[in-house]
Amino acid sequence: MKTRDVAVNGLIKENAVFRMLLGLCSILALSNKAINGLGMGVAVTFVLVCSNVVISLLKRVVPNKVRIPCYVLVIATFVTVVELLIKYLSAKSSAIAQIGDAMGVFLPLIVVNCIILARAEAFASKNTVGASAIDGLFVGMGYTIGLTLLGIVRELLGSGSIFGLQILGGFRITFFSQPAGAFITYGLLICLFNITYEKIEQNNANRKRKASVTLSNQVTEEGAVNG
Amino acid sequence: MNDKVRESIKTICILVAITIICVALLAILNDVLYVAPDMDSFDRTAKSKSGYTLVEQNVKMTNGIVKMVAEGEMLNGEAVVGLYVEGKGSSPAGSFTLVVIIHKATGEILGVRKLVDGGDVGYEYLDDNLRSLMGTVIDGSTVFDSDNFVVQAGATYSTKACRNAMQAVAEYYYINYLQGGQE
Amino acid sequence: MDSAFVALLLTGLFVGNYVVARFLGMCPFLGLSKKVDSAVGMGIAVTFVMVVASLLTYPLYQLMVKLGIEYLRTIVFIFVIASIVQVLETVIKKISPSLYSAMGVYLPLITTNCAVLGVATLNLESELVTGLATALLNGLFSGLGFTLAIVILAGMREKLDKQPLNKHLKGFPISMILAGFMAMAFVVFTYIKLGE
Repeated sequence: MKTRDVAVNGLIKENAVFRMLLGLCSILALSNKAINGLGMGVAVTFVLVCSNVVISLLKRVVPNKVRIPCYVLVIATFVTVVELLIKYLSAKSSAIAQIGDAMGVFLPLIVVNCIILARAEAFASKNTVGASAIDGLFVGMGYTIGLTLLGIVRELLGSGSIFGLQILGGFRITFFSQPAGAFITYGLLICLFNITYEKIEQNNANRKRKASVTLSNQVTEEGAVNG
Repeated sequence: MNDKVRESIKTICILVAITIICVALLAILNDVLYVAPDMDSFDRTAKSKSGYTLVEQNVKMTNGIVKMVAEGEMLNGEAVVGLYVEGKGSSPAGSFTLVVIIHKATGEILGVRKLVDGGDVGYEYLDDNLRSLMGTVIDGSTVFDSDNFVVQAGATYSTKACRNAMQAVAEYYYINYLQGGQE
Repeated sequence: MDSAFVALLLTGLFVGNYVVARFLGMCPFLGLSKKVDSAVGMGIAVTFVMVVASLLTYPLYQLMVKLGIEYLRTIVFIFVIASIVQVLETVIKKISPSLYSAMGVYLPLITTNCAVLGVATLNLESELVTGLATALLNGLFSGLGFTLAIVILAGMREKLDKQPLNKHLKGFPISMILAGFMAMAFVVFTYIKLGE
């Protein structure tokens, strides 16, 4: 499994937020501010990498029949680790305490976030420890980037700021900070992402068709650029 | 059949083993990442109103109305008073909800945590300003007059709501602990 | 009790609706909300599991606090919910095959439905939940609120599927936008003031 493939897959092709549409609850709830999205993304990435590694390690030990309960157990353990960590850090820094408060119930709910179980079942249970760690990292990063992006858009429109920094003066449309704004912004962004993705795919296909006529060394160059 | 039994026993053993490892790991982490009990209960009470007994409601303040002053106990009720206060500023700011911990004997503010800043989005009273309130000793009901309170430029409504809440805290402590103690 | 009952009812169904106000239970909300029938089935199954889960997890957590093992909350809850779903599936299959055929297919999906784990966790934090009875009511009304939301959305999507639509908007994006309009409509309920 090539690292580059895993990266492209996790970040773009199977982006959890825009392509796979997984973990919707936390995407919608934590995208009200960019910092909340980033915090949630980091928490999910941590759980994803850890559980992928452990599940990959256990893949020969765990009997097939009880694999799902085992995965859930591992995931729940790491979610609890994150909960304990955030509680610990909240006592030290009020910035983390605020993100922790915003995450609230969605922190324990990482357990039932479909992304993590999906990666465990589809990737970690079939691949090596190293590859699983990299997969977890990139899928998590794809989720974090998507969630933060949505958070930036909603925070900019809803509060006129990005990461708490006022940039639009007094301008804001509070609608975007509210639940209804979450649904609509997310729906429109997915639509936009789909259009862009399709365009890129088409371009790639066109280029490949053209490139196949020209010299073969140019093909490899183009391929590297496109990736 | 024998193989089947052995297989299921093996399965159960593995499941139990993984469970024990997970629980043990968490037990260790829970000890390592131990948060001192006062902060712990502070955080928990800060998140929900339960644990507080409602003592007064709708206290009229000089600067508006404080919706609720409630008291809960921390550190086994011996040293600290936890107050859950909702302050109101003038329009358009909404309510401002705080949890405040005061040392029962000395009146020193040990902790302030903001729960809700109902002020305009983006114009919120900063946590650093709130933290500067810690260490203040309440020795009278008017500790938080305007000279003694960081007014945050650009967030005047939130500041006002926050100050109302803090004034209610001071007044509450003064009436119930300072005056009550003297009588 | 009366005012608490009304408060729980209004919060569960409208003001704090799990789907449109709290974003809980989104996956089945969008996955199964293409047909009204299956939405109703899913809604009933989720409500049922939410009630049972509330009944079991609330006293269990009190016990865990006494033992000083609150940190195992997430693990214990998820396994309690998974067990409830498993038991329910077996029981319903035995007792009423017709009910099983109507509801059975949704049951395995419920374990990973965050509305159920959500209600178990929120019962511990909600100010309206003060005991086992209120926890039960919270589970019931939250489940009914969930059902209400997915049934309404399913109705809208059934109609929408027959309309010509831009292919990029079709499916998930337009469902999101529909859900957004629903959330807007539900904002009206936040003007309900209880007490005072």
